Amino acid sequence: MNRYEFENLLRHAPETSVKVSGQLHQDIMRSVRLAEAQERPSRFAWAGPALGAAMAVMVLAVLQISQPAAVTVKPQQPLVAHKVDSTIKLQAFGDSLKNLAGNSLLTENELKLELERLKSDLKRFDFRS
Amino acid sequence: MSDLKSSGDQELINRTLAGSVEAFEQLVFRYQDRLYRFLLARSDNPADAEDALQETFVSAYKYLSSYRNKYAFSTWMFTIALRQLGRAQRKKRLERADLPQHVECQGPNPEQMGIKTERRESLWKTARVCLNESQFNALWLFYVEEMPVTEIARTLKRPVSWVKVNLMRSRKRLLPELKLQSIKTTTPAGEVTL
Repeated sequence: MNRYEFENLLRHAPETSVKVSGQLHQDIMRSVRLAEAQERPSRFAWAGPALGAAMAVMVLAVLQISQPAAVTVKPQQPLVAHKVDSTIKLQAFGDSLKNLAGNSLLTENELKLELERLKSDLKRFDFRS
Repeated sequence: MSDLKSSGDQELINRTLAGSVEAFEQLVFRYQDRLYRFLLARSDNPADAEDALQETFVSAYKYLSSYRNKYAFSTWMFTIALRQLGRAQRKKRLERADLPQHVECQGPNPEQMGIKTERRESLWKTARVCLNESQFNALWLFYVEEMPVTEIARTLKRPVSWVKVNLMRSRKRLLPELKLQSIKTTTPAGEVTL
């Protein structure tokens, strides 16, 4: 047997002329259509994201409504009273210092200087000023 | 439909990708016989070949968008068919023990000559026993599909040189077997068969 005969045998063996039956073809196409149906996105596929977006908008709207509007806040009365009270106390302290100066042996000039120093100290340490 | 019949593979692929199942059916018509023969020659059981064929076309349909026309569509289809067959065989654990026991590869045993003449119809089965899977695939794709060596290499994921060497080895291996089959023997009924 030469090579040509050998190749001819391989090419024309009965296995090389088998055909697919009509039934098998139908089965193949059925499987393909089934796969297509599974792959195809659902007609309502958009509904999920849309519903999510709608929910988010609703939540934001509810939050917006429930939040109170901005109002002008008046200064609280206790704070003002406290400030007036501390001013009066400082004035009283100044008066007492003057009285002390009157009874002191120090010269007026020295007392003034001391008073200024005390005032500046007070201002520096008084966080409310 | 006649329009589809005259269309080229790429045209049918484009139409399928555009949503035409009819175009894909035309591709199925074109390749089903070729793929089925190949799968059947590689399977012992026609049912396995049929299952693998179905899976091949379903996979091809699903992943058609990934096909690039750098290589022939037939190459792509045979690659999928091979993969599907391998998967099915792994799954079912096909055993070669199921093959006919009288098919042997070596030695011109005179006692077997009478049997071997009957094996003409199972020529490719002989090849399947004598050759390994890749050699068998290469031989089939070369002689039956008349696929170029480069396309065979692509399908089998082997170098071109491997395909050439193994085609030659397969021929060397099979030729003595086929020579045995060509010896004229006389059947008990007195008929002369080749």
